[in-house]
Order: sequence, then structure tokens, then C-alpha cells
Amino acid sequence: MSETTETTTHGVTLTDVAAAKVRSLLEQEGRDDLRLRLAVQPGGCSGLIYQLYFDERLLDGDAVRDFDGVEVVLDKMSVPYLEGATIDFADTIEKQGFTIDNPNAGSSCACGDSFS
Amino acid sequence: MRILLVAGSGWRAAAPEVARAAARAWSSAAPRDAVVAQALADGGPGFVEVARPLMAADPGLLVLETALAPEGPAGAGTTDLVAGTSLELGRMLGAALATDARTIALGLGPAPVHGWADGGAGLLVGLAEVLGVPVPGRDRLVAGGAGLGGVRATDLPDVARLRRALGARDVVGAYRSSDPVLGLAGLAAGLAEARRLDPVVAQALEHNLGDLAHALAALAGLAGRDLLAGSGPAASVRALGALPGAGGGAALVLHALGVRLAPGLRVVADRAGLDAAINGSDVVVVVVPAVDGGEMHDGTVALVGELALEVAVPVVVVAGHCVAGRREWAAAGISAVYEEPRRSAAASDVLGVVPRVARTWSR
Repeated sequence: MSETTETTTHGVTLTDVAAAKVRSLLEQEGRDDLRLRLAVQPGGCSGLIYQLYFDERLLDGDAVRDFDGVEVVLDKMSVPYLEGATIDFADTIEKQGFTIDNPNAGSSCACGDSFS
Repeated sequence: MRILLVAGSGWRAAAPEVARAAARAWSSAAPRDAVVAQALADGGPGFVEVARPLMAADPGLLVLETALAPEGPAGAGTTDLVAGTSLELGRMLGAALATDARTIALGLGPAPVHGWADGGAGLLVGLAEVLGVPVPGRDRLVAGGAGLGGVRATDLPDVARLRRALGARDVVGAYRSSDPVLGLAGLAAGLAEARRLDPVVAQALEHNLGDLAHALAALAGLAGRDLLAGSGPAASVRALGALPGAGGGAALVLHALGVRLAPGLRVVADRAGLDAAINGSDVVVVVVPAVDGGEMHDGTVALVGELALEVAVPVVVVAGHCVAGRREWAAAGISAVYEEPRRSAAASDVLGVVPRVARTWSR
């Protein structure tokens, strides 16, 4: 089976802080074959939920954008829901971990995991 | 007029057959209307039947469903759910990987249909054996949900290697209900509530599935870990436990393998171009056995109503019976609901209402 896939770009931004955290995690694991995949999936109390994880695969229709060596990949279905979104990394008392700021989200639920 | 007639699942007859019969019923009363029939499936029984035209149109698509997995050691549809194993499902998936399919959609039906509730432990073994990957704790993993107590990461095969075997294929697990694998609303609790399991047995199953989730979380490397779930093993287990419990909890293992999980209805709707079909219609007619809480939450009625609302196309529902109120279905984008007079959910009875609806709505 051919492994070649056509890719396009997308409108999601990865902040410098988040990119640095991603590089740090990859170096700890000794992996240079992983991309950061952001996806939207139906579900949750407000209709849609985010998924953010490392993925070594590149699927047909995936959109990829490079941030100084860190690749962020979206599947084609998720691209329109995430146009203009920003992936950041926070390490404060109020919030630790990766965050998603999506200007397309009209509302979100109390837990913050689901949006519409 | 252009009529799109959509048949949901839950009938004794196959949904495509119901859709075609409903289209004939409409045309009998409104012969000048252009009627298009579309069946939908939610990943449960009948998923493959509905997907046949999609596979015919795309040779790179392969659709499977758990109900088609060959009988395992405990037998398909076994009443002893905690002894049933998803081993044969894993072998079926392994065989699918040997084909040229670039997209594999696996319909994850409810546990009582296919006969296991092992979180996909057997699937892991079946897939590993087909691919020649050793499984240290094989006997424990194929003993069903009852045998998973105390399972450790060292019992599992090389999940990362299995994950790589999926390659660039888009493998999607199509589920009906998003009810989670673990927890008070999880798989074991649901089986106890439905009286399919004794409460004590269900509690033990919950513990065992939790052990499997812990083992998978411990084995998970960076790839696939939910980065929004927070850090640490507890967060990873919580994220795994929140996955859909369909397919006897197989999402636990499927997620670890990098399989995408999506609502079955949306998988079919996306492939069939349902949104474009709705946009090109004057009226959409949905035929379902019943309009109940499940149907309004994540069923065919909810999905069609949502898509039609976006393009302001009226949706009419014909059902055996409806327990949702007018405000509920109107808010979901439904213009009218017609019940079978005797509240019968038999397809032949429900389809008997369609000509009357056609005479009302056709212009």
C-alpha cells in the first residue's frame, strides 16, 4: 500500500510556549516521528469536544502546518471548526497543561470540555 | 417536489429495505414527487447492510460490524457476557488490515448483541496473533471481562507495534451511544441496570475493566495520550474510562491502537453526503420505530434535524410512537411528527402512515 498522502495547511496556531513543551516531551521520549494532532469530535454536553494527542500517522486529507520543526496536523473534517484556533501551554496555579482557544466556539459547557 | 426519505435503524427489517418501502409508499400518494431513499445506521446491527452502497462507490472503504465477528469460544450472543471474548473481532480486524482498504469502519454494536464485555482485551490478542506479535498474558486476556482482574501492562502485547501496523489507514470505530466504558453510567452499570448482569458481577466487571484501563495507560507512550486530560496516570485512566462503552468496551483497546472513534450515524452520513442531500431537498421525511429520549439525543431524528436546521429544510418524522414533546422536537429542527394510530413500531404499520403524510406535505 502506498504511504504517500496529499496534505494541505490549516489555520491553527501553536504558541512558542506550547511548541517548546512539545519539543521537550518528544525529546524525553526520544521520538522524532510524532506530530501534534488536534481534532474535533461530536459529543459532550455542548455538542463538540477537542482531542489533542501525538500521532505518528498521516492520513489522507490531513492538513499540516509546521512550527519550527513541530508539526500540527488536523483531519479534514476538523479543519473548518478550528480555523483561527490557538494551542497554548499554561503552567500556573489556575491552569496547567495544554489549552485550546477557539474563536469559532459560540458557547461551552461548565466543565469546558465541550463547545458548540 | 424533491423528497429525501431517511430510514433510521432499530427495525426488524434492514434499514435500506425500510427506506425503499417508505419511498414507494410516498410515491403511491404523490407520484410526481422525486423521492430519494437513504438509510442510516448507528454502528449497531445492520451497519454493514446500510454501508454496502458506500463500499460499492468507494473500493477503498471496508465496513465491518461486531455482530458479524465469527463465534468465539463463548459463542456469539452468549448470555454470559463476562465470559465472552472479542478475540474473533481482533482476528477479523487483522484480516481487514491485509486488504487494500484505506478506510476501515468498524461498527461497535451493544454488548448483548455480540456477546462480550471485555474492553477489547480479546481483540488485542486476536489482532496480535494475526500480525505475529507475542502476547505474554494471552490466557488472561481471552477469558472475557471476568478474567481481567489484576491484568498488568506486562500481560499485553506490544501495543505500539500493533499501532504501527495500522499504518496510514483511517480506522474508525463507529459507536451508537457515547455512554462511557467506566463509571456510574458506564458499561457494567448499564448492563446491571438492564438486568443483563447481576449487580455483584457488574461491580466486579467494572473493577476488571478499570484494571485493563490502568494497564493500557501504563503502556501508552506519548503517542495517543490525551494531552487535554491533564498529566499523570490517573488523568490517563480517567480519559480512557470516558471513551464510549460500545462494542463491549472495545474502545479502550481501539483507542490505544490509534483507532478514531466517531458516532456511527455521522460516519454513514458523512460518507453518504447526507448534508448535501438534505440541502437539495424540499422536505426530509424520517421514518423511525420510535421518537424517544435516545432518538432525540443522538439518533437519526437528532442528526437529520440538526443538519436540516442549518439549511432551513423542513423535517417530518413518521414513527411508531413519540414520547418527546412538541417543544423538544421543534427545538431539534423537526416540523411535524406523525405517530402510527395504534402506536405500533412494526415497519409495515408505520409505513402505512406515509401516504397520508405525503398527501399533506406534497405540493
